[in-house]
Amino acid sequence: MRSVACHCVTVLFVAMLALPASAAEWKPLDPAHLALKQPTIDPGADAEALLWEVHVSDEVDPSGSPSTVYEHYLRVKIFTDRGREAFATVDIPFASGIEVRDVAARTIRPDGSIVELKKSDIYERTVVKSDDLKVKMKSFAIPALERGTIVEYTWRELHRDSLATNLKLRFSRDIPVHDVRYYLRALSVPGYQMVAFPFNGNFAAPQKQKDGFTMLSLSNVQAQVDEEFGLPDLEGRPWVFVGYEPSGRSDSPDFDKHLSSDLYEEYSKRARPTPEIRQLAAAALTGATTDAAKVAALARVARDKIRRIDVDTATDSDRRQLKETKNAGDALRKGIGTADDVLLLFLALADAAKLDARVAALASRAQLFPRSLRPHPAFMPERIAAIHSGAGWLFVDPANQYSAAGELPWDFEMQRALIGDPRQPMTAETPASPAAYSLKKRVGVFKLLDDGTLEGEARLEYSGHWGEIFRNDEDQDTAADREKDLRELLTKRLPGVEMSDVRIDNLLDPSKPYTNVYRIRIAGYAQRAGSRLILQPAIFQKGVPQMFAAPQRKTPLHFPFAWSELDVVTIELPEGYAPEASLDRQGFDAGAAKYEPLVTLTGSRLTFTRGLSVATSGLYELNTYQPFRAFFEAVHKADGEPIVLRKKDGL
Amino acid sequence: MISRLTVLACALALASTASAATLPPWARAIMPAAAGATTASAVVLVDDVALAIGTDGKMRSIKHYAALIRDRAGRDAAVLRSVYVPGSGAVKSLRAWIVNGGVVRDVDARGIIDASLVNNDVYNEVRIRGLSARDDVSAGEVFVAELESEEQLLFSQFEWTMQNQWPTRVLRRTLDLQPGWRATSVVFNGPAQEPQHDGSNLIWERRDVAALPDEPAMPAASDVIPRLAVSVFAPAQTTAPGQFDSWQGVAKWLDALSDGSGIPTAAVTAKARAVTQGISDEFDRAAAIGRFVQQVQYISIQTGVGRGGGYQPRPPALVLERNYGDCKDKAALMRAMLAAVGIRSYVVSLYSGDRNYVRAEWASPQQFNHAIIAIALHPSADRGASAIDHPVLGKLVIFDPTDEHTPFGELPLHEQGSLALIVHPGSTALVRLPLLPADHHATDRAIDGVLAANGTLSASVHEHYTGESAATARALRNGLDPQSYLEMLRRRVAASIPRALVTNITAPVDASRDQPLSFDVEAPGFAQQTGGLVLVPMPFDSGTLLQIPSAADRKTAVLLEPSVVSETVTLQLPAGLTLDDVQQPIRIESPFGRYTLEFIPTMGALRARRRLEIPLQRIDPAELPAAKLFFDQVRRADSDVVVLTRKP
Repeated sequence: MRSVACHCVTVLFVAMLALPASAAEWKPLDPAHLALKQPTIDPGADAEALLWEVHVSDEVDPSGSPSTVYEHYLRVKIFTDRGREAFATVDIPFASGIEVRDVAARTIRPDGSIVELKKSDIYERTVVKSDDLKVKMKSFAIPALERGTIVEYTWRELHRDSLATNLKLRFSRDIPVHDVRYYLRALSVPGYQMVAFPFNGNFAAPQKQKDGFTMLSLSNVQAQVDEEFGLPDLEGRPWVFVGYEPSGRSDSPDFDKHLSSDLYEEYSKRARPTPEIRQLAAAALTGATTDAAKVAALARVARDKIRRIDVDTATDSDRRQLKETKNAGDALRKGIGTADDVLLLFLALADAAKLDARVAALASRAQLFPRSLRPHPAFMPERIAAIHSGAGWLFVDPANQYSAAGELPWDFEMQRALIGDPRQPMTAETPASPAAYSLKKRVGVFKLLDDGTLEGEARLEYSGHWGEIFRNDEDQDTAADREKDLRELLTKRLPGVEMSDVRIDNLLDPSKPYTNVYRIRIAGYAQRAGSRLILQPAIFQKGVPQMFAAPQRKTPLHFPFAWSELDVVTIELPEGYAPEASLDRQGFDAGAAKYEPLVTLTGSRLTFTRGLSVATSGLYELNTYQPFRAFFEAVHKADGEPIVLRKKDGL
Repeated sequence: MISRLTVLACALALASTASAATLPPWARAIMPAAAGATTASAVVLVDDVALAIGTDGKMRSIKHYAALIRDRAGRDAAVLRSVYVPGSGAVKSLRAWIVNGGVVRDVDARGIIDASLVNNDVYNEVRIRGLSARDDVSAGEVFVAELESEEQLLFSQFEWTMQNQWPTRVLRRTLDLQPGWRATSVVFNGPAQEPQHDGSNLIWERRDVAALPDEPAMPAASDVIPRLAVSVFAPAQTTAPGQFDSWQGVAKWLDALSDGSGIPTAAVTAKARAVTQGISDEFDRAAAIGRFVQQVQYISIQTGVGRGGGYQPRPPALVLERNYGDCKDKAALMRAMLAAVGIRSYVVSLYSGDRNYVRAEWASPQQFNHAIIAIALHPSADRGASAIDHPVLGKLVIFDPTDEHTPFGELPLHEQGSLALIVHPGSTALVRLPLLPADHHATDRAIDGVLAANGTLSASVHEHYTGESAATARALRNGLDPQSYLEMLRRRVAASIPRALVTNITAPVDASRDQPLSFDVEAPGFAQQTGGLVLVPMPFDSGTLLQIPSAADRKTAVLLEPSVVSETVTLQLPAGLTLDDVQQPIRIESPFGRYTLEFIPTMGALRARRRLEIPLQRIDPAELPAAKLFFDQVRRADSDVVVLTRKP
């Protein structure tokens, strides 16, 4: 289940639109660029963008409707055949309400000769068309493209009924860029102003242009990098937020106060309990004595009473039933609704239970860290509940259907939450869940045969955020697909494995761990060495690649959440075989991360217990990589440590 | 948004209650069949296509389709669609209903989607139009749909697949013939089936057809699904488009389409001369032109498909100027360049993606989806492994200029062994392209290493490739940026040498040169110490060993492509350690492959030699247990560990 969100902005202005049609105006070319033989920002780059310019201009068309005009310009130097292939064709998709014109492209050979794209070689087609959707595409192939050439192309987009607001302007591409320039021109509207917040780059100071544009620029931009445990998209690349706001609001010290007050106003009246809600709350609170227990009980009721239809598991028929919810009582009566309806019902239940429950706004950590928050409502789009308890606040997301009782999803943890209040703003940091909350528990009962074959049953339980992740990933799959995926995953790790009696339990029951159960048989699991068998008891880690295996890294680390693992593996040894050496194992404790292995032998039954705790989450700077790498390298090595079994003499 | 959905919901509610929809008679007739079914997620009750060809060359088609949806996954069966080419074809009508017991409701026609069929071409006019009720239909309901289309035919030939993704009760194809016309048919991948005659109609029908299997390592679906191929012939005085009763007819038609495309212009001639300047050997001159055409960017722009545009190349001069084109454009450019230096050549039509797709029994251009080239070289200049003897045209070297990783003189493995047509008026039959044995697709790996006393392995690795193994290695190196290539290589090496650091990589790039892959490896903790023993695994690259699927319920064969991997590992052992346990030589011979492994202890060192040869083969389900046994034995032998002990 994933939320399906829709953000709409409607603002009306009156001004004048000017979109003159024009032939391509190519920018002057630096001869040094023509002579360039090697990339200058990244020696391994297949191509580098020499210049990337976008003009963004809000205007008004003759009918009085606002429009946004985008003028794109890209100049790229090709260094390799991969670069040539990557830029061989250009596709410009556009939906209804968008007009694409003035497409032009040309190739400049190293000798300075130019091959222009002919207008007849620009193709337009309707990619998909239905009653309420039409997506078209303009496409062309770049002529005479070779290594060493410069290709440049430009086009204009007219977005009707549009304003350049809540835009996330990207300043990096999948190739390095020498110069990125965005030119912004806002509509002049009394009482409103355009705001722009830059992120993650050494941006030059905004420069006013003569034609009313303001230029934002960045130079020598590295290509985007995708690494294991990397940063969220908006934290790992340079970008600029652009939006409109009432003048003076965004830079006002009272921004929090305004938003906090707005939040309170929006929810407080609608979340008043009805008699039915009071009855529900009373029934749910039986036996709950602490605030935390009450909150959990009420979150479960809210979740169970409203089936969400703003999620990807809902059908079109479900969505057609979507109607505006007036208040909590209305939400309860309908029994279907959105995440907001579930929250509304929870707030009403909490009110009925005499808890001080408020709506709270925050950002998703999958998008932005607290450090990147800016005084604009678009930066805090998510809604949860905050319950005053003792000296602090309990946070709950009753709409999180795959948590046991409204626990926050990982991306709502460790975020700055702004709590709705009519008088003064309150903020608090949402807590991080402990490592024990997200547990991978694996239990195996196996028998080792004297030819090295291992057979037995495995049970894998995933709780906390692991359970949420698996459920979200798999709730749309069929049972056959889930089993197929599980088989493929295991086969990749343990080539030659035979799997049977596969079960996937508790997919839709978040009160229990998401569970996989299966039997396996692996011929030759224990390696032979003459009269010995070499056994890796860490069966669930066999064939798993090392975390952070790359010796170097380019970007900081981001751990979504803390987690722990517990393996208990028992192996019945083949008759006559016994360990040849000591079974002692060394654990290690690196503070936030801990590894605890233990091997015992009782008769012919070997038991391997493995505990791993990674009690850390959030952002870690690049200089922490090597310590993390060293820890996980040691874990990988310890997991691979074998036990040598030797047949006793005379057997 | 909300108000619009509300209005829509109200409208639908009214539609389903106040004015109950009515099913067409054909659908009402099959409704009793909805009761009782298999355990599949959906069952197609009827898949019926009826065609009629008019004397105007237009084909009119009516599709009737009904599917019982049994569970959530089966909702994908609630769709009916048709491919068409604007300008020469159109979907005239498309309607659908959902039946729930006795209640019938219309599927909203506003859900009709019209989309490009192919989106990775710069332009392709072929489209698909369909109506899906996937998000409306529920378990237990029946999706019913009918579609009517019209198309100006390019060929009076059809190919129908006779099996679906879902089990199918009735699968019927009907052809209504004009008086005096005749038709021939043949079934591939299934038993022969003669049509039933019903007046002017020919009817091919299958009942209770099992679902198309989707199994790992299965042959291409086109090599498994029963395919019905039909050719229609009009009497001499009547016109009908694209009639073929012989391969020579097909060759003549294709030759006429590409007529003149092989003639060089001045620009083409100049480029051909420049590319071959200083090269006297004919084979080398053809190879030089081949390399040039290989670098022409592959770009597909498909226009005029309904008029045979899919078979007609663009002028070579245009392709040269733009430096891009599709397979037929590249073949035509290469023909023109070869002609400019006095070398004769021909276009070769074949099917890319399934070497068993093209069948000699059905003479039809529709069997081809790819164009390559055959070059007639003087016998003294012919030294390519991809050469064939053509009964009319003599010795020909076959080359695919679209594949940038396979050098001149060789053929991509997936094209080897396929039937192809040399486009020449004198071609009377298909030719079989050469199929090279496993040892042509070889990887030779040498690992020379030193094992330190602390278990660290320091080694240099050299890999030499031939045939398809070489093409794959080049494709990997060319397809990945340096960082991604390093990461790919590190992961591959880590599968057999855990925690290995990979450095000093030199990798094969150029298809025309025989370049090895070399790199160094440093792996701390490679040899593990336990008690007084040192355990040394052998770093064989067994990660690519095929996983033989279980034979249980297996319906299709397992397809294995040919390869040979030879490895020699030499490890210098640390002082003070001696070999304790060494395996005896292993030799495993089976119809599924051959495997040898031997350990050769020498003074202070250990050498291991391993060779695994897999021939091209299709393993039937009944043979899978034996095949699995072979691969398990190999895997077990690969995982053997050498034990070292301290010298007394």
